[in-house]
Amino acid sequence: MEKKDNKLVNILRNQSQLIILILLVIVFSVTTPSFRTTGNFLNLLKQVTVIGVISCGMTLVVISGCLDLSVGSVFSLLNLVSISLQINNNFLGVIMPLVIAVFIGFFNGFIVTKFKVNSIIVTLGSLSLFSGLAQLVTNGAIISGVTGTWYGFIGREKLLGIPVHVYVFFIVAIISQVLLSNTAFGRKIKYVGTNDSAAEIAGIKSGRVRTIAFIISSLFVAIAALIYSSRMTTASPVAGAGYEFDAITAVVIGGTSLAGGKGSIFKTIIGVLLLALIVNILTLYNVMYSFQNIVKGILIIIAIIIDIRVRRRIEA
Amino acid sequence: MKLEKIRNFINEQKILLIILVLGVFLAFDSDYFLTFTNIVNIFHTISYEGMIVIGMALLIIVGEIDLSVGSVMAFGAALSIIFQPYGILTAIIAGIAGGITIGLINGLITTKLKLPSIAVTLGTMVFVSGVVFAITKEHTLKGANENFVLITQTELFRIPMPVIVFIIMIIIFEIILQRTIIGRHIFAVGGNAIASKFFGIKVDSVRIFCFMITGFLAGLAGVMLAGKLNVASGRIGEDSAVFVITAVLLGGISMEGGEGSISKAFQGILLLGVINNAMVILKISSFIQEMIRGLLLILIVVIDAISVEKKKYL
Repeated sequence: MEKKDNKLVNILRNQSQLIILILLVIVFSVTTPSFRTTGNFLNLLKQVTVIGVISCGMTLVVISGCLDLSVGSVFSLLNLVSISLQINNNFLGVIMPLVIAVFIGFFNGFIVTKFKVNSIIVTLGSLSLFSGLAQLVTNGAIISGVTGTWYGFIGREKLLGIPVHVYVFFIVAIISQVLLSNTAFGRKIKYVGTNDSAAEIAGIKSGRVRTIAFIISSLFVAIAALIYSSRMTTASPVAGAGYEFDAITAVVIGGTSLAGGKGSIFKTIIGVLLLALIVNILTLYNVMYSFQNIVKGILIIIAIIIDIRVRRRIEA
Repeated sequence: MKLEKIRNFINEQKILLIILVLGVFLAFDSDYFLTFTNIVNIFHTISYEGMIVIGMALLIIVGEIDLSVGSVMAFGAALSIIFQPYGILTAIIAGIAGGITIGLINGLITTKLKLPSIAVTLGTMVFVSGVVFAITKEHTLKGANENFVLITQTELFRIPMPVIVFIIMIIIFEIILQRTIIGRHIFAVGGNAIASKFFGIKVDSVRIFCFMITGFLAGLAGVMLAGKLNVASGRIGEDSAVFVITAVLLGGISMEGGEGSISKAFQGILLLGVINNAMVILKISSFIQEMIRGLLLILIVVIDAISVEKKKYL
């Protein structure tokens, strides 16, 4: 009997976010008729794919002990690259963003690890760098691509009644979770995030591990940008503005520690859904858009406080 | 011996030398550069974010950082626009008080809950920006009091008010940092917080003080900016954190904390101002300007990291 109690307490403690998510869904299903429609749930799922894919990559970077603030402007840049190439050649429009993403991820990772500098400051710099570059590509203008080709498959088609990009999100999430919990690389990310000098001594090349995490994160940003481009067939130099905070908020309120070393993709997905749910509710109740930022800011701080509290209790 | 002296001088004053070289180059390129109007213009442009640079320098010396300064500046601007119907003085006080409040919140959360300031201020940055959008009702608010713009349009010896306020702030805080007990405490805490505690320094209070000063200066910058633009919007200050941190690091203040001076930070913002001015004179597109600023920040942290690494082996 006592054992059972402990188990329940453990679940409550480890999966508190999941429980909050379920409770919120139940509460709002009861109180808000417009919330419990299938259309709204599908809408919710459609809205989270882009930020969800970005958050999966961000989780890997955060677990490795870094942070990537440039994902938003990289998203805008790749969105523009994809659409401007897609006008002439669908194939290039898909391949080039992925290729460029590898270089961008390498650039961020290389500078952070080679010179051992704070990743927040570096990626704050690359945020400006890529945002300027994105605006330069089209001189700040919004461009439209060509609709009606296979390019729109990911964003606009449905399989078994569910949009294709929702499947893409699930595939990305499963791949990242497997990568994190079932491969040597996943273990290395956690070691490096927990204590990089100890990991070095154990023979792990921490710089290389972090750089790969940055590259994977950028690749996921490229996939997210492709989903968006495919769905909208337009590109704007500010398409991804603020996505870095959404992704970080999702990762943090999911329960992945900003200190690195711990976390999971599952937690991040809960975080993404939690965030989307709160935004969805605010929208349904016609709360001003700006209050979303207020709520997000408060959520980030609360999540950091909880994270540090829990870690101190474990250490003590 | 003499060579050593010259080398030391170059090392100490390298930022000023870079500004000088850049200035000579620009003076040859453009007749406009060395005019009184343009030089005042450079100072005027940097004076708003320059005030925040002073606070950020204190924070980095004490070993903390504040990413929310841009939002706080927008907050100060918005409050001073909103409170204009109640008089100019009320508007100014409201803007500054708003800044100090956010600084206090940043400081309290960081020190009392022992959280990393970079993460906390990331949160308050998003939060305050939301507050600004909310109180401006997502519009661009115009000032109601026509006389409010006088706080920036007044000139003394052809020098605009914001520049004068900026210079006064630099002098005040350089004196506080170099000549007072609180200044010595800031260096001590930044150098070694644990040792400072043993010496009886109230570490948390020193840190909160630096956050509040940064909030105060960001609020003041916001009030001044509201006077210049006569509008408030949530879009104000979006790039300020990048700009301000770049300036402090460019001035040669290390992210390691424990050393630096306000005059160094001033040199950093001045160099950024000259670079910006040069880019405008050379008609470089604003997009490329943004890219260059980003690259500069990356370059500067890398150089800082390399020199810190070098010192460890000396």
